[in-house]
Amino acid sequence: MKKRVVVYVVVHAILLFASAVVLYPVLWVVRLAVSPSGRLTEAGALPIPREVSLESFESFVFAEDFYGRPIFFIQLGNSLLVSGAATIVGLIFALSAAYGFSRFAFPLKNVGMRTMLVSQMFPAVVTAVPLLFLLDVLGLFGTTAGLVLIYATTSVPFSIWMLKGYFDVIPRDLDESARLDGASSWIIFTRILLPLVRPGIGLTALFSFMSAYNEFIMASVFLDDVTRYTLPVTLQQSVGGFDPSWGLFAAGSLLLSLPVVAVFFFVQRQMVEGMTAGAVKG
Amino acid sequence: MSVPLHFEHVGKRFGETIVLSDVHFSTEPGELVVLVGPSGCGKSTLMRLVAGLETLSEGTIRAGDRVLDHVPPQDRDVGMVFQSYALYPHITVRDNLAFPLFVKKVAPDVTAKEVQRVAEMLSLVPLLDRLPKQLSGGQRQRVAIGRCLVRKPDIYCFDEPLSNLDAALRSQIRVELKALQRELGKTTIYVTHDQVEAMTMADRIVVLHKGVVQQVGPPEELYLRPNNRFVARFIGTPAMNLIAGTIDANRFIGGSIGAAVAAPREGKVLLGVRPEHVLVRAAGRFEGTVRGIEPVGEAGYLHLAVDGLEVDTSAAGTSSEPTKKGLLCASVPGRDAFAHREGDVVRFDLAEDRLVLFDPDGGERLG
Amino acid sequence: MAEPARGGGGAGKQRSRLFWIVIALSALIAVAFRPLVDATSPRPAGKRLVLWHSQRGAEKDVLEELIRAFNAEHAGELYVEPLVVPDGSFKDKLLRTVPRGGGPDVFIRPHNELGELHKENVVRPLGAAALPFPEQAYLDGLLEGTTLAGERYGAPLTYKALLLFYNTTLLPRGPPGSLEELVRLGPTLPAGTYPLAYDATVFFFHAPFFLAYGGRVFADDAERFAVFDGPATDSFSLPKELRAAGAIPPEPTYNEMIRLFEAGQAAAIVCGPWYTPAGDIAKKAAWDVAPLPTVRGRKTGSFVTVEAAFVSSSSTRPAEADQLVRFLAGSQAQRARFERLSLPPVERAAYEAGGGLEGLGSPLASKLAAAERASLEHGLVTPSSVRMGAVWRPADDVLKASVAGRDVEAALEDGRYTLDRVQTSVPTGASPRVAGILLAALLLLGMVLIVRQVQADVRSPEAGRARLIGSWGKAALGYLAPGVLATIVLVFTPAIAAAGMSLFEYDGGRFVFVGLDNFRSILLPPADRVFEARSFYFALAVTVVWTLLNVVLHVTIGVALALLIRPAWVRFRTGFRLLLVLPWAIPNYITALMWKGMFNAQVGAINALLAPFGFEGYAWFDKFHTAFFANLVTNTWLGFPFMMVVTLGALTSLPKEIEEASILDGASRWQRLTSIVLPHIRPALLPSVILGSVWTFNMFNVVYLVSGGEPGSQTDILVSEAYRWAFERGQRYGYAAAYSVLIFAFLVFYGRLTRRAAKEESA
Repeated sequence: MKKRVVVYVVVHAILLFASAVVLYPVLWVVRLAVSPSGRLTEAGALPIPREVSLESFESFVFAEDFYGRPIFFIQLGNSLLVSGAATIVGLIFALSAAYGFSRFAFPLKNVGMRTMLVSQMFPAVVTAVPLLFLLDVLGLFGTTAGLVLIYATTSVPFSIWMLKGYFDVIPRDLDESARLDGASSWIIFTRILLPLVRPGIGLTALFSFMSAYNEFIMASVFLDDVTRYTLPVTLQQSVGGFDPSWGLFAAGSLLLSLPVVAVFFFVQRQMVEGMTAGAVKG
Repeated sequence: MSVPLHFEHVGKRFGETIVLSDVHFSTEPGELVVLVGPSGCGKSTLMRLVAGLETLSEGTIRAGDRVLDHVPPQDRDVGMVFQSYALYPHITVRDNLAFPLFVKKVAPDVTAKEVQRVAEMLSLVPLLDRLPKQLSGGQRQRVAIGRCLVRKPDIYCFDEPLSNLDAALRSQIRVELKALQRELGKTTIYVTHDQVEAMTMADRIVVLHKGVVQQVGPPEELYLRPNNRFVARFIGTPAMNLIAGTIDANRFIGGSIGAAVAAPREGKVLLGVRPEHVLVRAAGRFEGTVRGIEPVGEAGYLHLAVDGLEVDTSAAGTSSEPTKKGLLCASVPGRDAFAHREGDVVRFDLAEDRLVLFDPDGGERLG
Repeated sequence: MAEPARGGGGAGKQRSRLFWIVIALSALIAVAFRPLVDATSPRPAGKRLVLWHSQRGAEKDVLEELIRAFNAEHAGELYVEPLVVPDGSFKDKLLRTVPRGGGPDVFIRPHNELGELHKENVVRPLGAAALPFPEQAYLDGLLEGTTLAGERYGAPLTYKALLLFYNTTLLPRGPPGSLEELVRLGPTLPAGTYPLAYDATVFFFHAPFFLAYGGRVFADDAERFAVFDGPATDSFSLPKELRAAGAIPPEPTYNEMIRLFEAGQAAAIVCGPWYTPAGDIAKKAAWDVAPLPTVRGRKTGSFVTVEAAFVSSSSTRPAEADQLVRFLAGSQAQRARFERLSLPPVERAAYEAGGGLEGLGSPLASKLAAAERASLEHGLVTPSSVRMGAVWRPADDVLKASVAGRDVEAALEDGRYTLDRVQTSVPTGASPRVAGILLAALLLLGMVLIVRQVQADVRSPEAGRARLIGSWGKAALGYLAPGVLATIVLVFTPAIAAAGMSLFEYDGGRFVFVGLDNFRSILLPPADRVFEARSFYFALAVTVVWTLLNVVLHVTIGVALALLIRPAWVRFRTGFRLLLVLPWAIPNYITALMWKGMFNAQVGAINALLAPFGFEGYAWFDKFHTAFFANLVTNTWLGFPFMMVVTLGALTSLPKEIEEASILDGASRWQRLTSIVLPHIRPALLPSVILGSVWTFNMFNVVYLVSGGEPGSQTDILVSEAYRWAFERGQRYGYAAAYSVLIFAFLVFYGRLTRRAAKEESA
């Protein structure tokens, strides 16, 4: 009995400690964001602000462009639009390809699947230049559609790899039975398998959304209208040059992270359940 | 209309592995044929060949005059009930039943009527709006069958349909299934690893072992005149006793046992005796010591140690050794079983008209 | 057929309804704002000129006011539309857009990128009308900075040179005229106060001392580097000496200098005109500016950046663009910048009485301008040559070594070595034969392997079955085509092109074929360099250790927390789970910057936490192991949630009965863990571990942003090394590409290895 109490206390102590470690740096960002100078001027172990000022948040949220338009909201809209569209397009690509890889046989299937994984291994340091050149050739440079396509596609190999795992664990009996009933592969895909890989779709969508939503290098080179910028571009702008505004950056970071954190909180249960199917068979 | 199935020298390989070789038999139209054998014997593969879910490596399968070999599954008119039932977990029973008609773009009102008809036939009406996960095993199985019935196929395939059910339910559904099959009158292939199921349901049984057909025939033939040692041990519980011995002038001698048999040859043989043909009676000619008692109710089994007797007790198909020292199994009426004690000495006879002889090396039946 | 019914209980349903509401709302914001913006966007009449700049705050406000004035003046015929472009992507954006006819008409940029912009043909020489003042009216050096090969490309707007800010309370009689006297003041100041603070870790801020020692960036031929040669090499030891003497703070970085100055703990700092003191010192108005002190009896200046307006070569309205440049560089603008921003004018006359600036701005502005001018006069307008870009980082590295008290001579040797590599990048033009043969052989081998694989696949039993049930080949095409095609075009093609780049060397605008030279010089470094930072093998070793430690930590912590959080009796399970996945949801560049701040020596939270253990002011990035540790902590914080979630997922499929059975068997907790739970989650973890290690292997953001390779590129991993060769040590794109190919090859090899291991395990 006594032993159980000890275990109870120790487990909770460890979890509390881990949560504190996770929260601690985030609280410092909050502290920085609400400090009036936007700077940390003294050392201290606890992230408790001496003065609270919402100035950084205000100047981030109520920023206006040359014509006085509310660019924060416009750019938030852009971010959501671009990442949302990229997620949807990427999912359409990845879902159908994952179905193809899971349920069909064709020459070079295994090679193709491995190549998808291998594509994750090439570092992105030098690929940007040829990629931009390519988009120019395709006439997509500088367009929102081009950006959406880049984001959608770069996440496709990983999404295929993950979704194939989900398709693979759905018993083949289901397809075979439908096949005997005369169902086409399209019907099997849309009516039977898609509803069953829903947790996988959610999780993959979250991943692609996050990577698109957080990206700024491509976006800042790509877009040339302040009303088309995505939020991370503006966030990056706040720390460029000689005198970075860390307060603004901190406030912006918090605002930028908020939607993704919110989505995480909504889907975390599915996430936990969803991870296995994808992970067990890869 | 019902069609017969013809398997003509059917063979199936997966790369180097031979799964089926030279399967050659035909069914009668409307017949229920059970494919039985231990797991890995190729019975499921054979059924999948019929359904068109696998390709033949050799030979031909015909349904009546129609060669099925290259016909895609959906054009074969074969309905299949999967071992897992393969119910679509995200839609209701009603939608599951309607699925084959939905695929064929049948008008909704016709579909509804058909679903209703099948649901009534299988007493599924109250369950129509439930999801598969809200059903019991038996109910799920009925839905799977129902989905098959809706299509009205020419040939039915059942892949171990009862293996996921508990024992009590199993025997009940066996009866229902058999009745249903009679009613439909369609040729049916039924796969199971359970020989009791095979015996109780089949018009004809096909015993498969390591991809080779061991025997094709009605249950009683398999039971009484097994083609070889494998069938002998596989069909019937408890299994047939196989006693090692020699034939000398139409007389079998094995240890202290002797019996008159019509033997086609002399020399070493295995004598096959069903437990119920070991007749325990006070006036018996032979003597054995009771080493084990298995009362199962209406009957009981005595395991007898008989002086000098070598009995093959290997499980069906697992042993290649000719004989092993073992106990002779005898069947007695239930109340007699309770009367015996271990260590008792009992006397018994063999029913000489029921004995079967096998070659001890190849295992085939002699004569 | 009816729609699939949705399962789930009440709470789940509510949550999911909330989720969809949020999604719908987001979609609404995403879609609704666009037409609103387009509808409300002003469309002034006249021709449009696009102006790119990267100014912020007050500078941006002034610029926009000027533009409004310009627009008003030209209403109806011409209007300017400004676009803020992030400083970090400005150049890339120009290089990508201008050649294809896009980009701005006019842009405002420091002059030092001119060399590269010129080589890439993105700038257009200014027309005669663009310059508002006659040539001789400009301060010496400014126009030279914006001129290249005899053509004038930019009109100077203002310039930025370093000057001295000092604390009038600590130095009531003004700063002494020489550095030596300033240092000698040290003991007379209050405890904890430094006579001087300047960013001794950055070459730009160190330049006044470098120049005073007679330093030159290039040799007489304007080609060879001379930074680490000649008399000025001694100046690199200065930070070490000053720090040893306590004349400068232990962590002399920009932020620290500002912090000390504003807290009244630094008597003087070296900073630029962009800086306006805030905090205590501003409240007390206890500061002033002065020219830089003399060093070793010599007057000195700094590197000077000329802010100039350029016309892009893609502008279809060069005449109007010139007009805008003339306005932006003209007197009105100059006055506004001086008055509002205290930025020094470019016109010589402005510094003299009657120059048109009387009565404008604060008295401070005049003092500031005077100091700036002095700094320009005795300083150096930064060379705008492409090769200048390769100098900063190696020089910074030497300075950081000096500050950290390491061997300056060795650091200089490192610097020379790095610059030598930039030097030798001058392409020779190799014969394509060897590389060609090798490539052809590789291609052939690839083809043979592929053909054989195709044959095997076509004959496989699966193929036969697939043909029968109609899931063979062509049937899959429709499903695979979109995703696979997009991937081939946008993922594989750029990667292959990048791999191809490894056979070339970039030379200002063109690629020259060098065969396998890049690989040779990466894989065969001079023998004495093999075990030094910046060598491929050193970086590889660091990367492998980095990956290994990270993965072990991620898995251990992730699995441990997942197991702890799992029992039903744990309180607030959902809460804990939510909190513990938080690091995953935060963009990793934010995480990296966050932790960089936490490890700051002076104001960092880590040192504050560890203060009882004597960690006050501890410089984490001075030593390899502590800098590496900082990276490791950051990446562990970032990476464990993924493993935790994977483990939690795997645990949900662990049948309860198995565990219960083992409890009945009397297995201890530990036995249960090792014999049942761990083996169960192992197969689920394996792919994640492989993927995780690939990610960690290429985790650029953390290494680059947290330690930044400190000290002296020692903590750089392979990717950040590749990045530095491409962007910080000359534009050795080919070299960086070769690095990428090697990284890729290593990872593929690793992938094969683990796959084999996994296969053996499952067998």
